[in-house]
Amino acid sequence: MTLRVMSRDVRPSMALSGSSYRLVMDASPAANDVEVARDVNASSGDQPSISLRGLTKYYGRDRGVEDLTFEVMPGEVFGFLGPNGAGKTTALRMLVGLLGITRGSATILGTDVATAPASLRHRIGYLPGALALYGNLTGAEYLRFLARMRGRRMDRRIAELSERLNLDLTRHIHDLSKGNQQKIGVVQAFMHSPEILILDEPTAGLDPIVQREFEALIDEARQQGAAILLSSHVLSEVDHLAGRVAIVDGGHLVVVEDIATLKRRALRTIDLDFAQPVDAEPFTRLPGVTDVRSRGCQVTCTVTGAETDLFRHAAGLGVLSVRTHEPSLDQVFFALVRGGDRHADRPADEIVA
Amino acid sequence: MLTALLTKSWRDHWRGLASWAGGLIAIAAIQLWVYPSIRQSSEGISQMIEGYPEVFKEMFRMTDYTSGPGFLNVELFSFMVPLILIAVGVSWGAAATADEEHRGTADILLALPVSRFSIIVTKMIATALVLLGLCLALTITLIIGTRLVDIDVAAANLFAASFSCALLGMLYASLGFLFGALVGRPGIAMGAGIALGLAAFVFYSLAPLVDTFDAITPVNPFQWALGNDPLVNGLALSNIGWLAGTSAVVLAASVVAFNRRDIST
Repeated sequence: MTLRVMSRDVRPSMALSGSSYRLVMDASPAANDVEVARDVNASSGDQPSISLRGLTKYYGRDRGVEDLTFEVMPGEVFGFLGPNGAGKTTALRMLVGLLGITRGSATILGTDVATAPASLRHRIGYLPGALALYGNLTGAEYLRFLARMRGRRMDRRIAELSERLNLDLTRHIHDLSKGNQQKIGVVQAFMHSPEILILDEPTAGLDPIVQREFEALIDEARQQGAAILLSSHVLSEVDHLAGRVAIVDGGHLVVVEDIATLKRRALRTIDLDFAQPVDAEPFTRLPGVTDVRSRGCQVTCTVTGAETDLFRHAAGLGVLSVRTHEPSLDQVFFALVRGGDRHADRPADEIVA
Repeated sequence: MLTALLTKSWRDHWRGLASWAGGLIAIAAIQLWVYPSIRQSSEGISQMIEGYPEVFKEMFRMTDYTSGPGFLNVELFSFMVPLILIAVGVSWGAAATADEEHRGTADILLALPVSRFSIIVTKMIATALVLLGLCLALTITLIIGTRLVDIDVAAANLFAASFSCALLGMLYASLGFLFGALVGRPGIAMGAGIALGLAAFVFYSLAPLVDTFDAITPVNPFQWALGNDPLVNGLALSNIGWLAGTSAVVLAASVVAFNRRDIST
């Protein structure tokens, strides 16, 4: 295992940020180099569409974000992850000009958002996290109003998007379910075919079928060269959409990383069922295996990296079934943010290793 | 100015507007309707008013209650009309940006490619036109009504009195805009605006009786609007200037405050 301060593709300025996180990375440096090389190739010659440099916002007591630095390239879907209250919404609202910037800067399409003219937002689609629409209007009236405010008619595009999302535009918004209101939010973000999409928890309330259509919309926008910044508190949501993710916690950037690398590095929880109780102790000595717990005929542990040794050992003991849990965002955190303080608040008797 | 936003503001509030306009017209019509009987028994009423406590007479400036303009001043312009127009103005001003923010609709509105300046100025124009519309509705009602019941007041003076009250409403609307832009909470902005309006009203009404209140009368917006008795004397340019100028300063401060505001979630 190697201990490093920051992931490799984070700008040097991040490493000097006020963040107190220490990150444990267990991927081999060689593998990481390959990832970095690919990112650089993908972006060579392109200006980043969205660029945050030490972006900081203080407000209220203990709220806000500090020293966020990352870039989103044209044609990239970038996941912005973190638990609720981590500061994702604050950062996104700074990008669209709803909040002032305390320190640092952010540029969109090369223009500093702090001084950008309002016209820059012609090129931005924004879906707020706490979506609030004008309930007294119908969906059609609302979208037409927004189109007029954007200075052009978008009737055909609105009709097309509504049909794809199975959205009834004739009903008053206050009569629509949360999910249907969210669809209107999605339509208004996409209807002017923006080069920048800033989407705060976009799939909240959408049913799986609509979610798939939404993913298709994201994919089309990406193929047309849009830069898409997508926040979520659920890793699985951005899992198959995003190439890279930034993870924030407590207002600080924890890591900016390729999602595949991140998952490889993540701890996975594995349940092993045996015919009779087995001695859990030898499991703790297997490489990459931690948090071994046994209860009755079941052994539960977490694994990073390859699972080969674990399965070999379990097979020798006559394992009946194996269940692997997809890494949750929490577990990704545990993999990344293991400064020691994270484990301290877990009951000691749960941890055998 | 953003036409879509302008028409939307009116459309959203047409019911409220219609009832305010209807109320104003009804109040004016009822007062005009009862005026002939007041005039008929003017002697008796004059005696009755003579018997009122001095305090009461001075508060409501009832010196010539039975004359047409005197009656309209007491019944409409000393109390009802200014307070109604202040209420309308404050509620429009206080809601303009703060209601969008409080409901969360500001997030999409302000992420549109239009400046905050255009948005708040459009809403100011919408508010000013609403007050002007109410002023015209009242003026027309009064012109027709005074002709019907034979009150001798020039149409220009009826407009002068209504317009002074509308300007007073606009001044308090501008305070609504300012508080709304500063705190982002429509309830607080509205409460503060109404409280200031009522305070000025009380100070103005009691000014003849309380020396300390009288001392501030020159800077009391009610004095600017009504002190010159526009129903009798028409519009006084200096008073209009004070009302409009103060409104303009407060509106400009609201624009600055709104431009700097962090929109809350």
